[in-house]
Amino acid sequence: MSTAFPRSRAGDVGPAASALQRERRRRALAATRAAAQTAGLAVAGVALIIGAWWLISLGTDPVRVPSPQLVFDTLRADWNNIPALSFIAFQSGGIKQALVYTTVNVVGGVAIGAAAGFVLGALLGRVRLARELLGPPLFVLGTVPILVLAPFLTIWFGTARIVQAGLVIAFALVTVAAVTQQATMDIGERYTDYAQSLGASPRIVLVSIVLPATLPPALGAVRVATAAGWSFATVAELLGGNKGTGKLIQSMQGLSATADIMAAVVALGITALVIDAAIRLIGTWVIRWQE
Amino acid sequence: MTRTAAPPAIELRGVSKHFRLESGEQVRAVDELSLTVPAGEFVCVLGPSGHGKSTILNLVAGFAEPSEGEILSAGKPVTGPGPDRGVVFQRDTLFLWRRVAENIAFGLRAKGLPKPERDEVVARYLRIIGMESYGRAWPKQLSGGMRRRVAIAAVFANEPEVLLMDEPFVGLDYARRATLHTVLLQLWERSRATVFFITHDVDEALALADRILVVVRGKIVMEERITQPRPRSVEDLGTAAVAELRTQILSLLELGAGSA
Ligand SMILES: Nc1ncnc2c1ncn2[C@@H]1O[C@H](COP(=O)(O)OP(=O)(O)OP(=O)(O)O)[C@@H](O)[C@H]1O
Ligand SMILES: [Mg+2]
Repeated sequence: MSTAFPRSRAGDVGPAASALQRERRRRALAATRAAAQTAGLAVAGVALIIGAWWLISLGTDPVRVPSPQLVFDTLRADWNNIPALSFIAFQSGGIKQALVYTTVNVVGGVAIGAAAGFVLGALLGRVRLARELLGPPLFVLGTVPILVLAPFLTIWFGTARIVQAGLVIAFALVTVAAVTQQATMDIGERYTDYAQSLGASPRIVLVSIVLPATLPPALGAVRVATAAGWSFATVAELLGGNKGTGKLIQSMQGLSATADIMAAVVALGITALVIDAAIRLIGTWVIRWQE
Repeated sequence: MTRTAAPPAIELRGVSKHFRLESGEQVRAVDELSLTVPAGEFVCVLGPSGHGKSTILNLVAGFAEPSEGEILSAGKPVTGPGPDRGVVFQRDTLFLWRRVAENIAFGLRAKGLPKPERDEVVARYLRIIGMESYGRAWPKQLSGGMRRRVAIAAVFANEPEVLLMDEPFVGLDYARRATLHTVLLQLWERSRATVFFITHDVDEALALADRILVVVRGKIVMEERITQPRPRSVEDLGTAAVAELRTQILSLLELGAGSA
């Protein structure tokens, strides 16, 4: 053998890059291990709760506390159709249809509210005039509980989807706008000065600096808004809707169908978890540059 | 020597900058300062902390306006920041959300240079700073010295006529500094830019400058030309004349520091 060191392959760009790759691989491995550990603990936690639930259900009337098995069977049986539902509420279908309705309201509502909130927040943070003009009225509005919006929406729009999604939109808008404004003001003149001294126009400053620099905190706000969005959407359905998981739960309460209520809650919870995980995953990728 | 008709790269005419503190007291950060820097000159500015060096640089960069006086860059009044005057800040300003190559290409993109040409310039500067394999790295993956190199490359790649540097190498070890001095001098010789370089390190100034300015209380209190060719070795800087100059500068800095 002529040398102890293998010649670098084509495409291999030297010791520095391979160190970078090694570091990346090491980190990926550590991350996988940590994720596996977290998942294991989560499974154990869920098992613990289901076990306790099952024990309690053993000695209790199924109308009060249905067993996990009963709830699971109900979820399967009533997934696509609950005949009783069309008489009481005005919606047809089963748990799935109600869940889809609520999920669309939450995801769509957060998307609309967050996008508007991001623009508004950046505007308030960047433009003094906007801040001085809109800041005080927005502050006053911000102190009013969002739920107060519900009766107004009902009066204006009846039972349209916008009434249920309205609270979610409003909450996402307020949360994301507040966080984005603060983040925009925190960027500091250092970055914008530097960009301008490289010839960047105001548009470039906005797109290349303000947007990416405020994205991490804004994404955090989106997660918070989504988590709260489930409550707002279902509560709005209770207050004045005729569709959705909240309405389904309310209707089933009238029928003392506790197993259906729990099935709906479990389905809603799992959906919320999955969506939160998706947002987190996207977020991690979008802000992979962060220190 | 033929004098060209070209206007000086930087010219300050009777420039003052006042700040009002919360206490109501007025600070004269820059005090009726006049200065002419011809194109291509490498000027190092020394001075005690808080005596107006960064303020002068910010005024020339266009980040702030003078309270009195006039500032010209290549004969034209300075009205704001612009790509003709590149700035390397003391704390680095790399965009964390852009890869190294995209950081270096930022100014070129703002100028509207097409991508193939941008890539070519970026590759050239990555080579000059010895970081060919780091184009796709994120700033968070770099050491402090590597970040400084990228920051310098980003500003140089934009080919400014004037380069304003505010203590760019502070906090780096001796070897990194020496490397960066070499890189800086190489880049400077190729671009023939005018450099305005603030430092606290007398030896750094002696190694780099065509001219050293000492600023105390917002005024230039000493001005010294250094004619030795670069790169300057330790022996070059070990002569009695240089030692004498160093002592003189240090005593000025000490005097000034006592009266902040
Ligand atoms: N934005 C500002 N507002 C009020 N005072 C300021 C401002 N910028 C600078 N000063 C004051 O101007 C004076 C000069 O500051 P400057 O930053 O120019 O000093 P410097 O020579 O760069 O110091 P150092 O070596 O510590 O960086 C200081 O007294 C400082 O307090
Ligand atoms: Mg300073």
